[in-house]
Amino acid sequence: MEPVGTGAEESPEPDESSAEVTESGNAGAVDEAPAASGPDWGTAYSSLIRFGAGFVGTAIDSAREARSSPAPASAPDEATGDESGDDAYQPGSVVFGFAADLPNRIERVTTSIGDSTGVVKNTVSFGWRVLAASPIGWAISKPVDVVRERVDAETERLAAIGRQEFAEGRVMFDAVVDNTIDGVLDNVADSEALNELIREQALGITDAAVQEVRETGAAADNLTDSIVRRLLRREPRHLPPRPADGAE
Amino acid sequence: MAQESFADLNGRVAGFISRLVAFSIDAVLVVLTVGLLSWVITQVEIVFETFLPRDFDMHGGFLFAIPFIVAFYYIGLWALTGATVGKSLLGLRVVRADGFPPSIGRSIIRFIGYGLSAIVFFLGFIWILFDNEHRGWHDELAGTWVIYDLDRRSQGEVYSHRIES
Repeated sequence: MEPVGTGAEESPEPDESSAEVTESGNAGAVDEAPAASGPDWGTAYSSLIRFGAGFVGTAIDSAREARSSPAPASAPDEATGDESGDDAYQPGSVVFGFAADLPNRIERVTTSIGDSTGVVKNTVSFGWRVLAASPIGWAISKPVDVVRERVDAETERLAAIGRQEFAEGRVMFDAVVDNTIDGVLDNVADSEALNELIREQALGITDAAVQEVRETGAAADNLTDSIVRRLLRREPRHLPPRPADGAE
Repeated sequence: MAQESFADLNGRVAGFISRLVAFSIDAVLVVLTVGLLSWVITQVEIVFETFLPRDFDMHGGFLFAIPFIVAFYYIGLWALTGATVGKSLLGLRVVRADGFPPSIGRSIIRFIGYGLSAIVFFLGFIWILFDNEHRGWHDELAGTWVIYDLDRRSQGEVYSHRIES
């Protein structure tokens, strides 16, 4: 299998064509547009062509591989006597071959990446162990320990400062809040007008509630009285009598 | 009912519902007070257990005192202001025919009348519903009326109507 770059190697052709197209089709735009002020259409178009060429090259490559690897695939060639192999690809089979092989390609790539990562990791780990066990490692570990201790000490010192500042801030905050609340309460207590206002408000709310209860009770009385009078076939009355009207 | 009508109700006899609500508030207050006193007496008994004689029954004495406490509450308030706490809240007032609060004697008779009203299936209270002047048996006995005092006027304002007439 040829490297992926094989397809890209065929890109000079499209590149040239792109350059031609750029120069012919957008020549005015490329020439007139300053590099810093607008998009570089020439470069963008060239990149697009390169990408397309690479894609086609990769497709051809994978189609070749798909065609050559399975044994039954070569049977028709033998039957037809066509031994030309790579040169006999049609565009349809090229694209189809690429599409069919795409999952395998992805799997191969990811596996190779994973393997290489594991190998690197294991190598580094093993190397580090060997180094640590050797006299060189012992010699290195001492200054490292010293640095680590210094870093730990500095971190602890900073944390202690932070804790102290937090505690101090809290005490100060409490003091400020206490003073503020005390001040506000003192002001409220000292202000005659404010006291009067609070008293009036409280009495107003209570008065309104009591008045509501009374009026509801009186309305219920009126309703009950009218029902009873209707039941007893008495004449309806607008208002109940005064105490002296009917006795003593 | 319009606002003018409420103002017109002042000095007129109060109906059944207002009186029932006021009575209920008073009953709740009395029960709470008696309960609180009972708890205090229990605590005192616990604290001073060793100092008290063995046959000393503080709770028995308290049970005996409960009717007097209740009577003191009703009679005292009727005679002094013409209204208990519940009646004040509902804007009601107990008055004689001349518009003044009942005397202590009338108040005592009224309190006894409470018992009589309750003894026959509360018929004396239900009577308020059907009586033309909304008077219960206790009112008939004591010669009292319960009137609206919705604007919480002072006693002078309330009684001036009766004095003028």
